[in-house]
Amino acid sequence: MPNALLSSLPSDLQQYLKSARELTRQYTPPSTSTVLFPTTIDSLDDLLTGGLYRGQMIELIGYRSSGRFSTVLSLLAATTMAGEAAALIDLGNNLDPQQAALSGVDLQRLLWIRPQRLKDVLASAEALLAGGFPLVVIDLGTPPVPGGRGGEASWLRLARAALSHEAIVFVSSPYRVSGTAATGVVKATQGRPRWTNRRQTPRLLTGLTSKLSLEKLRGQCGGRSSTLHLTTHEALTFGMAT
Amino acid sequence: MSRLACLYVPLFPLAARLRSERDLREEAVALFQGNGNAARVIGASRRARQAGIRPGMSLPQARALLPKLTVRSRDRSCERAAQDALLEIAESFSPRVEDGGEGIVYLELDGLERHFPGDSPEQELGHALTLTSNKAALPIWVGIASSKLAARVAAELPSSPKIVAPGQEASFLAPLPLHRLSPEAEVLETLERWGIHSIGEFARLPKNKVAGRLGEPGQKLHEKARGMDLYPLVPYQPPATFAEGMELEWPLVALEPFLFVARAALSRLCQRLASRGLASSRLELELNLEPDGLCHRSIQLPAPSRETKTLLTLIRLNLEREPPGAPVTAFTFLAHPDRPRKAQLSLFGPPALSPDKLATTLARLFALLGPDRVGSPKPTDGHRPERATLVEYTPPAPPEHRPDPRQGRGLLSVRTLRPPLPLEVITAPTVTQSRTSSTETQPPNTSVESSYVPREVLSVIQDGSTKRPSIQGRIKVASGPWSLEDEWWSEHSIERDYWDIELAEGGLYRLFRQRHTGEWFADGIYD
Repeated sequence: MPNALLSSLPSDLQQYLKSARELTRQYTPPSTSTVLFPTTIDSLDDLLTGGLYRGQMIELIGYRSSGRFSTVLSLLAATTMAGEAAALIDLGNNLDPQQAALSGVDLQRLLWIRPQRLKDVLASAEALLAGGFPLVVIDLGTPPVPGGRGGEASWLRLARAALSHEAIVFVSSPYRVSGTAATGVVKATQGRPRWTNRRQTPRLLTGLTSKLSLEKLRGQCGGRSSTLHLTTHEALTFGMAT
Repeated sequence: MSRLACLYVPLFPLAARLRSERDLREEAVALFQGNGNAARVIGASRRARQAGIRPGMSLPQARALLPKLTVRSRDRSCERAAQDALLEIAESFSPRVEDGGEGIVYLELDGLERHFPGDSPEQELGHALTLTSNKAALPIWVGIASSKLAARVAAELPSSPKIVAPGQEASFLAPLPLHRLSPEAEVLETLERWGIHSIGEFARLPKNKVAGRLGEPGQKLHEKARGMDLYPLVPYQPPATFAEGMELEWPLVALEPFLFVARAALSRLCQRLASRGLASSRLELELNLEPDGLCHRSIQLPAPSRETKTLLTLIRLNLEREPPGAPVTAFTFLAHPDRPRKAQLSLFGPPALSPDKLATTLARLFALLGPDRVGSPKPTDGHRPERATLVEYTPPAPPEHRPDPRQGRGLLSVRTLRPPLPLEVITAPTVTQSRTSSTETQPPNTSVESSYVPREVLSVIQDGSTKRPSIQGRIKVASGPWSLEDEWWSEHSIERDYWDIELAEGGLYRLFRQRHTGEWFADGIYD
């Protein structure tokens, strides 16, 4: 029937009309920027083919003690130490400024936002992208996340905003929230703590080891994994890192 | 001789009102002054005039001619804002401007001809002034001459812009009737008794004789008739604040209708700020309440902004938080101007945030979340892990060259729980054994009390606890206690014993026990 309708039109008009399937085939999504943004976490950079690219929305999921928050702080440290501004949308109000400073975050360049609902998180992220922030980190804290997962349309709009403003949106969440919108998804397993020798009393926490696995990355094959080693400040200071 | 332009707004009170309510510009509108039966028409729009509405008519007379006539009362705040806007339009062309009263502004044109290098620069300038004013919804007529009187009289003629050639002021004024000089009634009566009806006839009288017979008022009027200005241009001093507002036709009770009207006023305010390259650092809102109340609000902006949407959101939040408590009959916005933030962007270093965009973003976030939820984190003196301070976000300029990326430290961080999560902890006195068996490895400064080594954790059910993380399970490894004493000099002294624990089901937490109450809390998750 559509073909019959199409053929009834003048030939010069026919060439401008296309079906949705043809349009989808012809559509080439705007490519993300080639500007690389290393996270300075080797295991994560390996999975994400060198680091983050401007225009991407990357989601890191993981339950408690998976190294998710430490990864967020490392990313913020890498950005702010390079002289760029960054924003942290902290839904759980979990940031400790002293610890962030220890991790290397330049606090003067960090905008800390503490919304109370997921709806405000998404609205804040959009405002920050429009304001020109090159890195917007969304940390959804620990479950239960107030506001659930949010609408997929909102995450898609955020991903589009990141693309159009050539910014990076890094979402740290206990479970998948962004649906198909994220460019890449990395999953962190619950970490295995490292303690000092049993004979030493009291035993000291020296670090945490977890596994990062790539669940999705546009244009890449998923399934790869790497090991994330994190060390406590005390262990680094007193040479107990190993 | 200096050339002057006069900007004249015909039917100024009506024009000022229509500037505030642009939808009415094509309607039949009459402006009334006075209350009740004493109310009289003082201005009418073109469509109303075509229907026969004339100044001086009462409301019933006007309604009898045109039943669908839109009626508005005279609004001084609208007129004040319109006069300010007219002055700002003049200031955008010339630095020397004089406020000539209601709907009249003079500006000096010396040197402006270089900006209009056509055959008739003054004509082009007049058109440019008219165009700019029309954009600001304020229709003007322009007169250009070498004296203020001649310029004003020329501006009052309908063929705008009207140019009076240099030196032709006296001949231009000569055929006009005497009342154009706005003489005193007594002087005018005397002159008419003498048979003098035009300005030219009066100007031809000998100067000394006029002064002798009519005194100082007559002498001044004679000089005006000869095209001379009594006073030079008096420069206008711009006010410290920008004001926009209006009286409402009927009291508003709901927020949405008020914001609908306020948006237009804010938009005009922002337009005026933008025309002078300024932004607002503080916005004041004055609400006239029924019957005689006055409500004043002051909203401090995080950074100078001139975005209507942002300012409107801030006003909405302010009014939602503290409703005025009575119907609103009039409102005025007062913007305190400030220079927008400026920064020199680098060609080689990392990109800096645009100060203007940053100001708008911060104002939006303030409006969305409140000022206590947006800022830059700052380390605070003390030892409590949950302490945090927010300060104003003013990022330093980025370095001139992008530094080489540093190797990450890979530091394990704690996700701080605010406020600490109350827990029920089952303890067991098992540490005593390990203590005795490993006395050589025991650090000398560790004071372990065997009575409360944590063995099992249970979440305490509290109101609203469904929104907070739940922690429970058997403890696999417990490390502690690490003593913390803070603010011992104050009444709110803190004495805590910290423990790092690993649950058997997984999860690494930081717990503490209040020494003086014996209560347990979780204040962080190693993550």
